[in-house]
This record gives sequence, structure tokens and C-alpha cells, in this order.
Amino acid sequence: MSCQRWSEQLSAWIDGMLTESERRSLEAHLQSCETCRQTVEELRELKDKLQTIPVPSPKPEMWNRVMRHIRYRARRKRLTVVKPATWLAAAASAVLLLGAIALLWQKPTTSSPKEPTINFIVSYHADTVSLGLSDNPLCHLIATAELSEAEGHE
Amino acid sequence: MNDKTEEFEKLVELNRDALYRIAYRLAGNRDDAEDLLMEALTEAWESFRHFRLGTDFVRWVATIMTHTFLDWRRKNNHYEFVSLDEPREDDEGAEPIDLPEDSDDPESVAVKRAFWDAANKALNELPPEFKTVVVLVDMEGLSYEEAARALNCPIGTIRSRLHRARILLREKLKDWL
Ligand SMILES: [Zn+2]
Repeated sequence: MSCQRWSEQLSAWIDGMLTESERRSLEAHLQSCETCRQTVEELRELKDKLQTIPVPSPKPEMWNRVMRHIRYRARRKRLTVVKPATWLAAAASAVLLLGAIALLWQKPTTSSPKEPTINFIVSYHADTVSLGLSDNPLCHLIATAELSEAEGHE
Repeated sequence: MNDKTEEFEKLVELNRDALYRIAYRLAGNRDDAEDLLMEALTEAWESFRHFRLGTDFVRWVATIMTHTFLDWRRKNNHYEFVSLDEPREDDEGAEPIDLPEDSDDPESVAVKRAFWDAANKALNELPPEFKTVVVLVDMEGLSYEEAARALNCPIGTIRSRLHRARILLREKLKDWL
């Protein structure tokens, strides 16, 4: 029962991970405790034996498959980064173009509907793109870059 | 291929054996080791800009691999635990092992093989957090500090997990000790 308090230290002792004072008191206990000495022996043997477990060679062509996979994923990531931004921008523009037409259609008497409608499109466009992609910082970055580029042209 | 890609692939190439060995020891079989390598190396490539040259590439990837492994086991959706009774391999689980030169005596080979099977089974039955510590410290030779950094936990946690893992293994493998 009293050995319980030493238990965790037995492992650390094998690994040389006890502090000087821990080590001294444990070694004093080991002098007088057959059970803990036995445990230490078994734990040491276990550690040695675990290191003998061999690793079989990989399946044929494994590294080719692994490297192909990494290159594929890297390429696909680049594509998915750009695609939704372009796609969303196009979708948002289409929706808003319809909206603008509807607006013009419903309110043909408004004095100058063109200017506010265009502002609305630009800001809504920006919101959609960054909102739709905000969970992916990289996408967000590219979307922002595309927008600022687009804004530069205006 | 740009410089960064080339640099990454070169590091992988140079450290193939060590990377595969860690993946195999964590995953427990060749198929899952391959999946683990793919996943962890893809992640490593994606954050390669954070890798500082001069630091240990294998330990850096091992950290990522460890997290991927624990993640799989937590979600349990990708990682199907391969039991030795139901081998996933076509060759009935008998993975080809390059035996050391001195193991000509068929009897001792059989005894060793039986121990390896029992030990692999026991390792696979450990809670994943325990298994990870055993693989990193006892099998891969990381220090407690290095394991603590890899697993992002205090050294005291490594110390107690390692001990509890060893006690469990000793219990399961008592016929061999
Ligand atoms: Zn004792």
C-alpha cells in the first residue's frame, strides 16, 4: 500500500528524470522494498523490449502516392482559394443586377435611382464576398485583394 | 516548382525513413500509416512557412503527426481501429518485417514475432494519449521536455501518462517480462 506513493517515480527514475532529492528518497525505499525493485526491473525490460519492435517496410510505391497526394492537395487548395471568390462575386453581381432592374422597374418615377443603386451594389458585393469566405482566412485575404484591385479600377 | 516546394520535398526525401517509422508506430499498420503521412505532410506543407530552418524537421512533422493521430482517434470517423483479429491488409496482417541478421534460429524468431504481435496489440489498446507518449519517449527516444512540447502539455503530464501507460503495458505483457 505504501508503495503507491512511489509508483510514478519508478518510471521517472528509470528515465533519469527525478530531482536529486526525489532520487535519494526513492533509492532509499528501493533498498528495502522487494516489490518496487521487481516493478523497476519489469518496467526497464518493457522499455528495452518496446524498442526492439520492428517496423515493416512501407507498401510499394507508398512515397510516390504520398508525394502525389501532397502536390494534389496543394494545387487544389490554390484553386479553391480563387474559385469561390470569383464565383461568389459573379453570383452576387447577378443577384444585385436583378435587384437593381427590379428596383428600376418598380420605381420608374424616382428622380435619380442610378447613383444609390450602384453604391448598394458595390458595398453588398464586398459584404457577400468577405462574409461568404470569412471562415477561411486565406480566402478572405484573396477576396480582399481582389476587391481592392476591383476598387482600384473604379 | 518554386524554392519553397523544392526545399520541402527535399526535407521529406532526406527524412523518409524516420517519418514513416513514426507514422507506422502511431498508426499501428501500413495502411493507416500511409494515410497519416499524407494528412500530416499536407498539413506540414501548408504551414511550412512557419518552419524555421535549422530546427529538426522530423520532430516538427512528428508533432503535427501526433496531433493528426489524436484528432482522428477523437473523431473516430476516419481512423478505424485495426484489430489484429480482423486484419485490413490483403496479406492477412503479416506485414513483411526485415529481421535482423542474428535471428536465424526459427524458434527465437517465432518467439520474437509473438512478442511483437502481443506488444502491438497492447499498444493499440492503450488510450491514444498514452500510446502517443510511449511512441514518442520509449520508441522514438524523445526527452520528456520534447514530448511535452510536441503534445503541448506540462512535463508532469508526460511523466504520469508515461508511467500509467507502462503499467498498463506491463499488465498486458506480463507473460513476456
Ligand atoms: Zn515499494
